[in-house]
Amino acid sequence: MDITHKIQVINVGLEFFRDELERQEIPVVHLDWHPPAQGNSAVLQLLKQLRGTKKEAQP
Amino acid sequence: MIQTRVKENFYQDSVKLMRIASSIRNMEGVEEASVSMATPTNLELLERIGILTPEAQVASPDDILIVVRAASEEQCHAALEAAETAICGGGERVALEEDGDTFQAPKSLERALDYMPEANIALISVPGKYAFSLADQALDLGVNPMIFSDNVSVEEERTLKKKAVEKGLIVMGPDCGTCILDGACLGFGNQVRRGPIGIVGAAGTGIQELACLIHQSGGGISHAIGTGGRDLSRDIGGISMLQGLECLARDESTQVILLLSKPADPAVADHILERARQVAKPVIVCFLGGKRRPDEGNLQFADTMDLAADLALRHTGLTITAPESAKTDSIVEGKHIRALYTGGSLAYEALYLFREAGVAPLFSNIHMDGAAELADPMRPHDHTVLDLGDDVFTVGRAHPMINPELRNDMIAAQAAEADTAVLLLDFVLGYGCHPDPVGAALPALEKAFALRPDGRLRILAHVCGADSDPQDLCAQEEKLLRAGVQTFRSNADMVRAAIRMLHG
Repeated sequence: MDITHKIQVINVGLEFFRDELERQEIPVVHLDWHPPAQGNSAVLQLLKQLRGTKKEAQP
Repeated sequence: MIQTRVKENFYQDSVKLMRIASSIRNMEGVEEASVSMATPTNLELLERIGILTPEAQVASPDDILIVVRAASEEQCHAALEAAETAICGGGERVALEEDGDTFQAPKSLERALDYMPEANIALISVPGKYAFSLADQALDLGVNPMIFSDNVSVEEERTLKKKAVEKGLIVMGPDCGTCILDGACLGFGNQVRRGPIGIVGAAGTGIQELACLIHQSGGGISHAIGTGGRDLSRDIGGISMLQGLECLARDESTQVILLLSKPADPAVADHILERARQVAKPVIVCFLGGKRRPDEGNLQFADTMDLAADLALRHTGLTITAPESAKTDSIVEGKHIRALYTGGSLAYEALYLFREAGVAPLFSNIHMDGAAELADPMRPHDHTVLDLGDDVFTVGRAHPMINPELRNDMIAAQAAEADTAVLLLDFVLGYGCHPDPVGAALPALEKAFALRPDGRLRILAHVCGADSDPQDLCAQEEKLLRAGVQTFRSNADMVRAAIRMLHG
């Protein structure tokens, strides 16, 4: 859990949080994020299930 | 005339879209404009302001909708073009690799870790329904999520926090607006001096108020860890606060710990206090509005943030800077206090202090025993404390700490009411906040005083900030004083002054 040293951030969502971290010279990478399944709830649900299946299959 | 443009399957964050809308509203001939994702809530808003067009009605929630009403077709078109250019241009930042190739911004957390293998925080501010999945992935990748998003369910929060404990990580949030870690401000945060006081807080602007009071008194903080507003509920059990407490207990740069929250579930509070007793450092406990308890062992209790800051400072050889004694008039009988807050924790503290002082009748949109709920939050009456960051005020609008328009309108509206004697206002500085919150309010303040030629309106203000913040605290306070507003060094001081005015 080291959150007390060398803060390096992955920013997902509001771009201006990335901007504010850059102003402070804190290392940050901004994700080019889009709603998964293009916001379609039914497909989103399927993806969640698939992801769960994939995790179970891992040793 | 009204024109619409739809950008299908195109996502941009809400703050960026609101800023674009704001700037095209200032274009010549534009009477009204909206730039937003075509969600049901946003479509309702369009209907309310009279620009819900047939094309807008059939857009889907993953489309960006631009609607403009302007005096002429040419002016409509110009505004639509400007909006589209702003949406499409400058969205993705590209950087050069060392060998001169450009790269596209990563599209997944895994890919982001390729670029930044030592990333330790994922700052998540996407719409709430997507936040769980991202935070869950972050935990799987060994990254601590800070979830600014709200509208994450209790079950999701519990699942994430239990997983975090198993993995030796911490979930900061959801609904976590502020963390200041190793001097870095994440979300909203103030540029404060480093020092030996550590904070764990379930209250965003509360953390900011504590950090600024400490800094302005010459002290400093090691880290301020946000836990999200619901952490100390029975369902969550204070998981993140306990982890934050442990983190600061181990941290060598922290010599005294401050715990901040609104009132916790009693069993959760007891559990946290039990663990706090075992820490070999002084712990100051500020559960705002909670029962006062006597000090015991390494624990000291405070029911307001300025008292909590003072207790913490004393362990480092300092005390809180004493307030200047403020000359205040009395309020004429039958006249009222209206407190219009952008910071939720500051509003909560104010409501608590008014209640304790017997200020009545007392109304709010915050739930607290002893204060009645306003039937319509847009129509305050009697003595009222409003938290303008509440959901009811932020539909289709950025938070008032970023966008002051709504509060400016309310300042004028409340001043116009003859029974308003005192307005209380907070101005919050720091990263993430408005670049000039006082400047943005000045026209409204001038209008407020002009609406009351009887001279019986008083406006009190507290600027929550540090003198090293980007916005220049001194200049902000100067502007207020020149406008005829009385300023106070802490939120609690401002509220106490209002109470003295009421009680003569």
